[in-house]
Amino acid sequence: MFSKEEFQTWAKDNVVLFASIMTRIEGREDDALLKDYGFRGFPSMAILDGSGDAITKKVARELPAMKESVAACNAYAKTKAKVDAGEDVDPAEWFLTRLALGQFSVDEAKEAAAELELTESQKATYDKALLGLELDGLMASARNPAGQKAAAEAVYAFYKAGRVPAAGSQQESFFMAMLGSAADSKNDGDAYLVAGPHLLKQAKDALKRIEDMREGFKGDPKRIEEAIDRMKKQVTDIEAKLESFKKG
Amino acid sequence: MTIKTEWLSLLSLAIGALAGGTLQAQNSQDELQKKYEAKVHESWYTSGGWIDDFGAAKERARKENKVVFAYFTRSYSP
Repeated sequence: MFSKEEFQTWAKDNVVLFASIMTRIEGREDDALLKDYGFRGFPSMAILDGSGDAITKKVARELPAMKESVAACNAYAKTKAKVDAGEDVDPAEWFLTRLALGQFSVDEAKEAAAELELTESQKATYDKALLGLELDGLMASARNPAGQKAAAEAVYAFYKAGRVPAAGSQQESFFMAMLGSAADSKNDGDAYLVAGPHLLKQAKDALKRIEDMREGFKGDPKRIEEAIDRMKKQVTDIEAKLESFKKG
Repeated sequence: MTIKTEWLSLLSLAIGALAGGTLQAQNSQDELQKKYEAKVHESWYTSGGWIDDFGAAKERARKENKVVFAYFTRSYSP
């Protein structure tokens, strides 16, 4: 992603790009910097302020969500500077800035929000951020079939309550995957028509990535062809379901 | 072989091993330096305007009122 023009153009105006390269060259300063931030493996990413303090260590890999994350970090850094300087800041805005960076658990966020008078606009921002935290929790628990089933039910309930994540957000893909699964099992055409286009795009993107791996693949070619066939079937199945639900 | 001869042989072996080990370590450091230089010549790094000096990155962030996008990677191994 770092080679893409879109990333480079955006980065030039919005961040200072710092590559912390561990070299194992003796005497090299800051050679094992990643350990100072609690990282154990490569690659890792973090957004830091001008003092080197980590603002967030959860950085999205997709550019739209990454831009959102950096915008939240910039807002945090600016507001924190005001707080540190003893200037007046709106407690609701400071709360929302920190919430956007995942500095609260779900319960802590609900408790803090209850103490504040949020405007309608701030309430909408709060709800989106709270949903993001709830989805993060579900993602962590959806590592086995039982967890995935529970996550699908929870996401379906969010959808029915009109709570959907922001387009391009980190949690959107997970939300749509779970919604698609729940909608399919409940035969809910309206819900499937919301999730289906996202699932189709994800499947087509995955198919393209696997097809691109053909050239230069050093393993057994049968394995990659089998993976391509499986993904093509997934694409066809999703298309068929969408068609069937559209016809009602 | 007399004791003195044996001792001299062992000493020679030890000196040889030390010299060889030191030479190997230097070759290894040279190799690491080459790998680092290859890393900072990769296109994502050169065309993206990345820097790998932490102090300089923090100073630039303060001057330009921006955050630092830190990417932790390595050059000693793929």
